[in-house]
Amino acid sequence: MNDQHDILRNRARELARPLKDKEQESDVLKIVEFQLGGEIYGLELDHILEVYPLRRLTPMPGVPSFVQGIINVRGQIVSVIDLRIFFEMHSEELTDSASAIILQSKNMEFGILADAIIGIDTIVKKEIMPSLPTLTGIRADFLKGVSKERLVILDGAKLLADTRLIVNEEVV
Amino acid sequence: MDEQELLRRLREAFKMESAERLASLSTRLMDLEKTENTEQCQEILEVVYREAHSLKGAARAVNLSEIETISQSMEGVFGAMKRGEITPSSTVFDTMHEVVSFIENILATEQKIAGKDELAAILQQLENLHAGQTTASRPKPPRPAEPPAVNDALQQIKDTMSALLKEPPGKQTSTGADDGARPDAPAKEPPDKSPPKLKPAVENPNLGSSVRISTDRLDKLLLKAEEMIAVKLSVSQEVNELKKLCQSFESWHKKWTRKDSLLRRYRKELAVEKEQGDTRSAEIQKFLDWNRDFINSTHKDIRILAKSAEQNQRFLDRKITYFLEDMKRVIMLPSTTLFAPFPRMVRELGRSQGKEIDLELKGAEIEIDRRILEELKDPLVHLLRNCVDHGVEKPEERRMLNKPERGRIFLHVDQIEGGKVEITLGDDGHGIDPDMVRNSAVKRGLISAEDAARLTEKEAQGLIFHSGMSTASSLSQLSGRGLGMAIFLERVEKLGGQLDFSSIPGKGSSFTVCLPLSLATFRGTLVRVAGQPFLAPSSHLVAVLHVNVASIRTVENKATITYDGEPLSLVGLADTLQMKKPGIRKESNKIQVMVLGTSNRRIGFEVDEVLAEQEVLFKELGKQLLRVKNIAGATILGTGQVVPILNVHDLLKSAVGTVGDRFVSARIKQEEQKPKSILVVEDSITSRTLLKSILEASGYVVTTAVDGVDGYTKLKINNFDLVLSDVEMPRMSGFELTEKIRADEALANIPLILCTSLATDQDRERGIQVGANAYIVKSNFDQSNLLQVIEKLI
Repeated sequence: MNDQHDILRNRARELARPLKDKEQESDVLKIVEFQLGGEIYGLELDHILEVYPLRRLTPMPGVPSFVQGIINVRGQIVSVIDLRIFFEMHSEELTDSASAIILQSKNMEFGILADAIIGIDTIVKKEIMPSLPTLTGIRADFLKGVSKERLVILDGAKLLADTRLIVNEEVV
Repeated sequence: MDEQELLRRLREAFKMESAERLASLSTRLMDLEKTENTEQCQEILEVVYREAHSLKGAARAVNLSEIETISQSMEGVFGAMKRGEITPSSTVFDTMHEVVSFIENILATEQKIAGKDELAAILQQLENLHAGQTTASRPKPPRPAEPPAVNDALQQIKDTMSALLKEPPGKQTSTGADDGARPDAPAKEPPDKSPPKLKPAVENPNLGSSVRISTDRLDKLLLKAEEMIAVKLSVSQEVNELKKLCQSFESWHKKWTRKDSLLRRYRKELAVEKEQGDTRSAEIQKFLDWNRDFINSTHKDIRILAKSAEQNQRFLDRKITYFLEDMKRVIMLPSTTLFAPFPRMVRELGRSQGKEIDLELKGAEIEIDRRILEELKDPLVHLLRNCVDHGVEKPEERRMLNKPERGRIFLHVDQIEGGKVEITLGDDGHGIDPDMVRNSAVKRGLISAEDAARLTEKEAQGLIFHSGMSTASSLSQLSGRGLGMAIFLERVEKLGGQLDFSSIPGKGSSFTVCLPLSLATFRGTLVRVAGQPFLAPSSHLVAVLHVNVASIRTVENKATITYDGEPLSLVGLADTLQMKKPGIRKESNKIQVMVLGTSNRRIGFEVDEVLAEQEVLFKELGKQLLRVKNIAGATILGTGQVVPILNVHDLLKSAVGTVGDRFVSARIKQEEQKPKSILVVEDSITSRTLLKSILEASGYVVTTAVDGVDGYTKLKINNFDLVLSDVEMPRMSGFELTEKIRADEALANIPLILCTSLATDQDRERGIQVGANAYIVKSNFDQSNLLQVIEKLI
C-alpha cells in the first residue's frame, strides 16, 4: 500500500509541477532523489529500471562487503550494493523504508540501496555544476555534478560500467 | 507493412534458412568424402544438389544476387558430379568447402555486395571446371587419379577462392572479367529439368507441420512456465496451512467437548439465577452459545474451503507438471544441431597441422535441452581442439606406432536411464602422460614434488582439471591456455552433471559427461547454516549424519569423523563459507553433518540443521555477481525467499583451505576446557542465590559479589568471562561499576549485563551509555531470556 501511495504521490507531484518556460526535453535531466546515510543523492532516471521495496534481502557469503545480498525481482535474482560501503563511507543499519533502486544497462544490472526514496525531480542541465572539492575518494569518480540546490548527482552510466563493482572470484 | 520492412523480414528468414542449408551442405560434403559406396554417393549428391538449388531460389527471393549466382554455379558442379562428369576428389571437396565458407562469410559480415570481380572470378573458374571436365575423358569408377586438365582447373578455382577469402570484403582489385562470365552461367545451368524427380528423396516430410519460433521468444515462454513451479509450491504450502487450521479447530472442538459437562452444570445454575431475575448470566450463556456456533460454522466453512483448495491444488499440480514437461520438450533439440559444424572443424584443424582426422558422431538424433547444448558448445569445442592438438599424433608418428595413419576422434551421445544423457568424447591418440602432468603441475607450483610422486596414475591425470594447468609443451593458438579443462568441469557441474575420464598412455583418452536431458529443475537439499538457509545440490550430497561430538577425532590438527569405515575430514560449513555472523549454536552433544563430494573426494560439513529435499529452479546470480566463491547460483522458494545454491566443487577446494578448522577444533577444545565463569554482583541474597543456581544449572561456574566495590575487587583478582550485575547497590551502583570496568584497560572488553527493576527508558539508556552489553529488566526477567543473552555474549 505504502509504495502505491508513494508512487501516486510522486506522480501527482510530477504532474503538478509547473512547466518552466521553454524547457526542452534535451536540456533537462530527470533524476530520482534518494536518501543514503543521511545524505541526499540524485540519479538519472534513464539508467533506472525500477525502484523495488527492500523486503527480504538474502545475504551472500564470500562477496565484498559492499554487496549487501540478493533479492528476488519477479523471479529473477538481482544483487544489491551498498554505495556507502563502496564509497568508503560510514554505514548504518538498514531502515524499514529501505528500497533498492535497480540500475540497468545492456551488460549490467544491480540494485543500489537507498534508505528512502524522496521523489523525482527535473534539473536543467546547464545548471549542473562540476563536483565540490569536499567530495573526495572513490565517490568523486562517480559524480555527475552538483545541482543548483546543492544536490549531489551520481553518474549512473559510470556506476554501471565500473569493473570494480563486478564480483568474479575463483577459489584458489 | 511497407516494402522495406517486408524485405528486412524476408532477409531475417533467409539468414536462418541459409545457415541451415549451408550447415547441411557442409555435413553432407563430409559424408560424401568418406563414403565409398556409389549408391550412397548418388543419394548424398542429390541432397547437396537440392540444397544448392534451394539456396539459389531463396537468395533470388531476397535479391541477394551474389549468393544466388554462386549457388547456381555450385548447383552446376553438383549436377555434373551427379552425372559423373566431375569426379570427386579432395581438391573438389576443398573447393566446395571453401565456397560454403565464402557464402557464410558474406552472410556473417552482412556484406551486401561482394566484389564484383571476385564473384566473376569464382564463376569463371567454376565455368572452367565445367569445360575442363567435359572435354576430358568420361569419368571412370570411383576415385581415379584426376585427369590433369581437371586438376588444373580445380587448382585454379582453389587459388582464386583462397585469394578471395583472404581479401578484405569490399576491396576491389580489378574490373573486367565481369561481363563475360555472368550471363553465361545461368544459360548453361544444366539440371533444371531434374528437380521434380528429386523431390521425394530430400523433402523433409515433417516440414509442413512445423513452425519457426525465435529462441528468444521460446526462452521467455519457458521462463514464465518455470515460474509456475513457484506458484505450485506456494499453493501446496497454503493448502497445508489450511489443513493445519482445520486441525486446530478440531483440537478446539475436543477441548470444548471435554468441558461440556461443566458447562451443562453451569447452565443449570444459570437457569436458577435467571429465574431469580439475573439476566446478566443469561447473556453470558447466550454469548457462549453464539460463540460455539460461530466457531463451528467457521470450522465448517474452512473445511469446505480447504477441501476445494486441495482439489484445486491437485489439479494445478497436475496441469503445471504436464505443462512444464511439454514446455521442456519444446526446447529440446537433437544434439546434431550442436555437433553439425564439428566434423568440418576437426577436418580443418587437423589439416592445418598436417593431421588427417575423422570425427565419428553417434547418437546425434538424441534430443537435449537447448540451454544445455548451448552451455556445452564452447567446452566441447575446446575438448575437440585438445584432441586434435595434443591427442592425435602426426601421421609419421602414428605409422611408427603401428596405428592407422588417419586419426580418429569420436563423439558419442547415449541416452541412459533416469532422463540422463551420456556424452563421450575421445581420441585414439597418445593419451595423457601422467608424468608429464606431474612435472607440469610441480613446475607451476600447484603441487609439491613429493605430493606429485605419491599420486596414482589416474590422480595425476586428474590434475589437468586444475585451473592453471596445461600439458602442451608449447602453447599453441588452438588450445593449451591452461584454463580450459577447469572451465569445462565447472560448466558440467553447473548443469548438474558429472565428468569422468579415462586415459591410457599410448592408446588415447576419453571424457564422459553425464548430464540431465533437461535443465529446468534440479533437486536440492535445504540446510541451515549460521541461521541462514542454503541449498546443496542433491546430486553431490552423499549422506546426512548425526555425529556424536565425542566421536570427533583430531588428526594433524584436522577434525575427522568416521564414515563408511574411513576417516572423513570435518569442517564447519559456516567457516568454509566465511560467514560473518555465526549463528547461535545449540549446545548439544550431537551435530548434523552433511557429506558432500564427488566419487573420489568427500568432506563432511557441519550445518545447523538439514531441513528438506525439494525440487527447485536454478537461477543465475545476476550480471554483477559473475562468479561468487562457493556459491553456484540461487533459487527462489515457494515462499518467495531467495536461497543461495552451494557450489560443491568450490567447497571441496575451500575446505582444504580451512585447515585446522577453528570451528570444530575450538568446539572440541571447549569441550575439554573448563566451563565459562560468570561473576554475579547482587546485594539481595535471594536474587544472588537464585541467579547462582540458574546459571550453575546451565553449566557456568559462578562467583558472587555483594556490591560494586566487592565485584570490582574480585574482577581484579580473577578472570571472568562475563559480569552480571544489579543496578541499585550500596557503596557502588551497577552504573558506576560498569563505568569503572569500561575505563579499566584490562577489563574494558568483558561482556557485562545489567539486570534491574528500574524499567524506565532513561535507565535503560544510561545502562547502555555507560557501556553495558545488555540491559535486562527484572520484571520481565525470565530464565530463558537471560540465558539466551548470556549465550549470545560468550
